[in-house]
Amino acid sequence: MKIEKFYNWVNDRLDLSGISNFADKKVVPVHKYHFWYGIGGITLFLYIIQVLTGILLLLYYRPTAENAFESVEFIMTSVRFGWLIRSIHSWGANLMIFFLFIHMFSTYFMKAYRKPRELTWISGAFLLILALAFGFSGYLLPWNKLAFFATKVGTEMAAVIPVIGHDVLIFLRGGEEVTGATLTRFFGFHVALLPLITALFLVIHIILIQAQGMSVPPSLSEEYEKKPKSMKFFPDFMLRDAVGWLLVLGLLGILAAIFPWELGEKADPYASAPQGIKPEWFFVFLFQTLKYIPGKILSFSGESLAIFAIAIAVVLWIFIPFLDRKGQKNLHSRTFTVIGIILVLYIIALTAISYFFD
Amino acid sequence: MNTRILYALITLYAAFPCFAQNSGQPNTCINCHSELDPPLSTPVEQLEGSVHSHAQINCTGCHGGDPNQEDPELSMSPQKGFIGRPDRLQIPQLCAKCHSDALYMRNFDPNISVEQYDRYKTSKHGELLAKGDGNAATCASCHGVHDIKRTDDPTSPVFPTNIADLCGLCHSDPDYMQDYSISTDQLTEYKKSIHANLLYEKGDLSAPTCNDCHGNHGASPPGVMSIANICGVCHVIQSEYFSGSPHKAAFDDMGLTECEACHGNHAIQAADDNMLGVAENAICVQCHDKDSDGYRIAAQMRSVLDTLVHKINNAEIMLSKAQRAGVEVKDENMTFTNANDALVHARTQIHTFSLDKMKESTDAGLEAANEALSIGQQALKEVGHRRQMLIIMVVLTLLVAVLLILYIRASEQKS
Amino acid sequence: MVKEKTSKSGRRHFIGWSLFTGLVAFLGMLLYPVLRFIMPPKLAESSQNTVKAAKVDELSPNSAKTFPFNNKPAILIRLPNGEYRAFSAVCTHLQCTVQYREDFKMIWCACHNAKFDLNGNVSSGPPPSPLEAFDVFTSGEDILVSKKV
Repeated sequence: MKIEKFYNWVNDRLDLSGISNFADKKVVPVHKYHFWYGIGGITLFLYIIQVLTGILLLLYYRPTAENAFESVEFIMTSVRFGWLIRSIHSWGANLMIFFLFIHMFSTYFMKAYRKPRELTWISGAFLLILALAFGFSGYLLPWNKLAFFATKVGTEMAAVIPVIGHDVLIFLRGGEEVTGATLTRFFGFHVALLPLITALFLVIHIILIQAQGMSVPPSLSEEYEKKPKSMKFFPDFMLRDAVGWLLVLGLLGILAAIFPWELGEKADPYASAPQGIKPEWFFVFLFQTLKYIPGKILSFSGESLAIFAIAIAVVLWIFIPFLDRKGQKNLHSRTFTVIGIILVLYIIALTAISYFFD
Repeated sequence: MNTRILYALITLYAAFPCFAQNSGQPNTCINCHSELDPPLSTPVEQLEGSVHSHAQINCTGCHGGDPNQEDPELSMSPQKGFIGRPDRLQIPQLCAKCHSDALYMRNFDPNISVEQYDRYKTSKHGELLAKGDGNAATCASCHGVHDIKRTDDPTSPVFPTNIADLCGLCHSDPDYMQDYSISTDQLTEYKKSIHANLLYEKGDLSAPTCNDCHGNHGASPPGVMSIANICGVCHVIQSEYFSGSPHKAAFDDMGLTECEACHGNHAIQAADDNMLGVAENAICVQCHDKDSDGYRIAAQMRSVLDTLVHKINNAEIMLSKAQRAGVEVKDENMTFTNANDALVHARTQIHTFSLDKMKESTDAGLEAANEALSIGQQALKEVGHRRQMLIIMVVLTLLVAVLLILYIRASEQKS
Repeated sequence: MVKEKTSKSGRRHFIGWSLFTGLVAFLGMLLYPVLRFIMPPKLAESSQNTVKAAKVDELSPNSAKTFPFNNKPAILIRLPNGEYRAFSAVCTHLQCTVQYREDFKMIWCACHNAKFDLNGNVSSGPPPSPLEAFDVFTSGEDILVSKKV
């Protein structure tokens, strides 16, 4: 009763009928794949966790080469529950990217990028790139040995871009080398620039989803049209989402308990690179690809060519909605499903090779 | 009368050539020799920048002659005291003319030593030279001739980092040393030593090179009795402990060369715990037979030391584990420092060759190491606590999830 | 029929009630660490460029104390004339902890009898380099020591 009173009080001052009508009417299609609709929400939930724990870490973190490692150490040893907040931030970041990939492939295989949802797909693709940038920049912030060298190798890649490569490298590193200047800069990207751009794309992405509703995959659409079945978004779907979020939170806790995120050793810019440095797992398949590329292809540097090929592949991937002609006609394209399967298998295989056989 | 005074002045001048300082007048030695071809012009180039040129001491200081005469016949006439190239056997005396003159040398440096020549006469080099052996090193062999630099000038051949190679020029040459029946491997051996490593790799100029043990002007092999004193210049405590130990008298009786008997000489390495004890490669068993007291003590000392090393290693592993996991270990670090201190001290106390004395340190070290270990274990326990706390949180989260599922089911049954 | 209905609604009620309790506990579990986290710990500095070494009246002239500074021992010395000096107490030879010797007014390392003068310079013994010197200043009742900039 009290809630009703409060609603009326607000409604008298600000017309909420639009929102409540929308919430009342919003439905989610129910079919054999509707489970996958929840993954995007989980990713969003993890992003919110990242923002909140990130803000908490900002209370104590110091973005300088002299103090960064010590401040993270301080957070983990002296600040109460600092170990928990940091562990959750580290594991949350990884889980978020993991669920982003799952979300992306689930929408891909369900062909949810079809007209009229092209822009949703593209904004999502940008969100993925932003998330990877978050991961890359955040990895350096504790200023430990592994992160230092991973950043060194990672930023090196920028140098292969023709003409402006070196300038990009300088921009990323804040100088010729990875130094305290890089750290300060990555910190700026990580806590100001990236969150701002991400917020923008996130709003676009979510508005588009709300405006267009959920897409039913073309392989099911005929059947679905015959016998449409749906669930109210509020509260039915919402509560199921909440269960998923709780489970993810539990998973986060389990990961943090079994594999507490370590501090490592403080980075020493003058030390030689340790053996077996690897980027974070979500870059490993790209890293592994580069390993198999011969040093020279014709008269070009193999590495540069490979990086171009990857860049082109990324651009094609972003424009998938326009490449899948059948999809535009609301038809199921077998070719694109096969491409997707190959890509998933490729990513899994190379990541596995890197971790288990190299 | 006037000619007599002049003659007296010239004699004086010839007798103390060091007073022949450059007075700003043109120097005909330099004028002519710089125009000539090498090797006659080389001394002029070399003299520039030398310590003598800085002190305004010119050619005549050593060679005699008259730099004011234009005519070579006059300037280099024996009447003017010109001696040409000094006789090798006479070089030490020539240098000593000034360098042993305390009153004169005081003009350049109030603390300069003037006993080089006296020392030289006591050295192997000086003895040989006195016997007329022209192969023996003289002042010029080490310090150079015209281009003599101050000894603290890094380009001087007698600068610490250059000395070993300088001595090696002769002492590593088997042909040169043929007649003296001493080995020629000292330089190669020295270069392998911890001392050479400190000097060349670590750039520690206080690390000893040839002359720090053998002396320079008085260079000779150190005597058996003086070795502990020589090493003890730097390794004070070890030498003190050794002198107070039962080994002192025993070594003297057996004619063993104190430090060198165990540690070696030129190729000396960083001391290692393996030198102590009764294993095959240990030094102690070279003298101490099985069943002797010495043998037993050596074995005990080694085992006490090993226990401490082992404890410290364990504590260190524990500590770094906890540190990597992000648990507070600051106090532990200080305790750990104490344990390490005790270990370093115990290793020094080996030179007392007394188990009881060494135990004073090892016992303190063990106590500190144990403390560090237990704090380390506490720290790792903290990791366990964190895990438990997380597990509780996970269980609660999953419980809420289950309740939520039940709630969804229940409310859907209703509708 | 009626009975079954009431039992069902009773069950529903029970689930709703437990869910509510669970959620409250859950939120408490989330909030508690956060609240504890935002309150700064006693030692409110992450890296110690400055540390409190002693109280003003703690050291009499010609005495010293060792204290931890960034995880390593450091030594605060009060000279006979009352002036304070501070150095790293880690001997540059084999990392033993040095001490102040009141009898000869020098810093001394027991491990190998090394002596440092009251500027931290090696005056005898094996250490290859001087002790790192720190700045000392007084703030109220405290003697603070900080890294030289």
